[in-house]
Amino acid sequence: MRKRWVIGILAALMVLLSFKKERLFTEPSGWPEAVYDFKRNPPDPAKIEIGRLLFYDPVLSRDSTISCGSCHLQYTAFAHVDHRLSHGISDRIGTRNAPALVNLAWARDFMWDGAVNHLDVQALAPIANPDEMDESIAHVVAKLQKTERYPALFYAAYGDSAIKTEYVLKSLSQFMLTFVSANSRYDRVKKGLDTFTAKEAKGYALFRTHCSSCHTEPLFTNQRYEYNGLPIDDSLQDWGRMRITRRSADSLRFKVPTLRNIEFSYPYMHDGRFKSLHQVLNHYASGIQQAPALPPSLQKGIPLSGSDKAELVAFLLTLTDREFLYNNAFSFRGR
Amino acid sequence: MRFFLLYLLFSGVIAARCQEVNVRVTASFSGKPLLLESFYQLPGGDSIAFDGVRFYISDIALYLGDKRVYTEKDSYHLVDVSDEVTTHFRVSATQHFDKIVFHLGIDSATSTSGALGGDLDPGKGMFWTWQSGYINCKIEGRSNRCPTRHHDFSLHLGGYSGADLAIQEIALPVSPGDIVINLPLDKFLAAIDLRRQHTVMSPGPGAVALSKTLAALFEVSR
Ligand code: HEC
Ligand code: HEC
Repeated sequence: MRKRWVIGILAALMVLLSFKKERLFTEPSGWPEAVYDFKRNPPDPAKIEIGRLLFYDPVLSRDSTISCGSCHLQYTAFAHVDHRLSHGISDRIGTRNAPALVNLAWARDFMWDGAVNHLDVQALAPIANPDEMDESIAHVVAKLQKTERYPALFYAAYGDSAIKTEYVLKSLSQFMLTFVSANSRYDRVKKGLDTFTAKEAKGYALFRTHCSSCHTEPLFTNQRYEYNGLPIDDSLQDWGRMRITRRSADSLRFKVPTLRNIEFSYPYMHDGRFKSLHQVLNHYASGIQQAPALPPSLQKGIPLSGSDKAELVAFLLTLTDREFLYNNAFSFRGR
Repeated sequence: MRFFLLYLLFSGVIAARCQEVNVRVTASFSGKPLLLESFYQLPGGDSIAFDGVRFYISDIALYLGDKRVYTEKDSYHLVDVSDEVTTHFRVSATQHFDKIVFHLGIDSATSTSGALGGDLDPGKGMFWTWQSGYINCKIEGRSNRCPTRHHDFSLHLGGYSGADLAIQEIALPVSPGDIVINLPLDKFLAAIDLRRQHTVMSPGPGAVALSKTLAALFEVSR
């Protein structure tokens, strides 16, 4: 008799737990399967909360001045608004523009050139970069261990009061994995809950013709490395993907960025060279530079009239997801 | 009672067949245990001192002929030759064996599995942060042969994908009993040219070539 009770309670608990997990991370319907292996790091509210605290905590930098949130601001889809190149510790300037952090669970690799192979190890790069946080992860772990609040939080989440690199990294992943943006006007139109204006609809058609081979729906990236015809910046000498693969065929290729929330994630491109969407479209229409990696579709530039450009911009603005940008769960909220 | 006897019989058999084998990993220079920070002579009159020698040994297995008789689970050992705790481990052999097989370095699947713990903790200084991947082996020091600042050399060997794959399999014949695996670093220096091969900090053909050279030098000593 007692046995049955125990089994009943256990079963109920399991149902509850699985229900919770589902709620913490859901793949929007019609989307491809997420790439991140949740089995190795199952979503857990306590871990997400540690991740949120860490993301906004400057203790991750050498002199406690810079947090992840310093360069990745929620209201700009976690990009670094107004800074072409990222701006790190002691006002040092990095070599690339901080990208938006959106729908990271679907990304195979990270950074403009794919240098990072897993979301969990992403944080190691800015922490160790002398121009960004200039700190070592081992020292971060030691500093966290000495704080008043973190050991208890890690104990509650991981059952271990000795903080480990693994827990720090997995918590940061858990938080960033919740950055799912799937409720823009575009999404609601797709679900039949809203309609495009005539201008937006024309823009969408143009987008399907000229842009979606690389900025593929629903993520608005094909997750590949492509060359979109940007002339090289002589002072930065950034050859993109080639740095990682050392293959000349990868010269000037960069990871295709998502266009979700593009209204707010300016400046644009890996070096932040464009401030507005009109500048971006002028580039695609008349700024294309020839290079071996340039796909045939871009070799003559994309013929866009003035009204085409206005329509495309109108469409791109439908990718703004205010629920995402103002979601309290992602925000700093004090501590 | 019958069961008890059976139990005794079986546990006796298992005890007789299950044998703890100590594995020790050492590094030597000219036949003597390597001491960090001490100067050694190189042929030709140059000198050399090591600041650190660290490497991953993974996937340890014991063989009897071609038959695998033991596979270590979660087999990842970060060996720091100056830290005894890291140079000793135990494997349990349930049968006779005559060969030990292991890898120098970390395989591709593990290298792309995100945050891991234990010896694979990326905070142990054996993980590239700017370009993900484990550093399979770090050999660092100084020699007046190196045309570098302060005559430093830093060989950080790693790489997990495609042609850059740097992990090496090593198979060594062993006789029954404890196993001592030695890396004779004098032979490594005889096989490479420090005037050219003094700085390797990223995956590539240089790291692969040095990994192969290094792996071929591991030996069993008694
Ligand atoms: C100094 C500014 C700065 C700080 C601080 C910073 N980042 Fe970044 N972040 C960047 C830049 C710049 C890139 C792109 C770098 C590149 O491609 O080489 C980037 C890229 C990323 C990416 C990859 C996104 C993608 O889609 O490829 C993630 C994820 C990320 N950062 C998370 C973090 C986390 C977590 C932290 C805190 C541990 C952090 N960042 C701290 C500037 C920063
Ligand atoms: C050949 C593939 C390809 C095509 C076609 C393409 N893009 Fe891109 N797009 C890219 C790549 C790659 C980047 C990043 C380039 C870089 O930073 O070096 C990019 C960047 C952008 C950015 C900046 C995003 C950011 O966060 O910085 C915008 C906006 C953009 N594209 C819009 C468009 C539009 C609109 C079209 C169609 C008119 C289009 N793209 C067609 C590959 C493409």
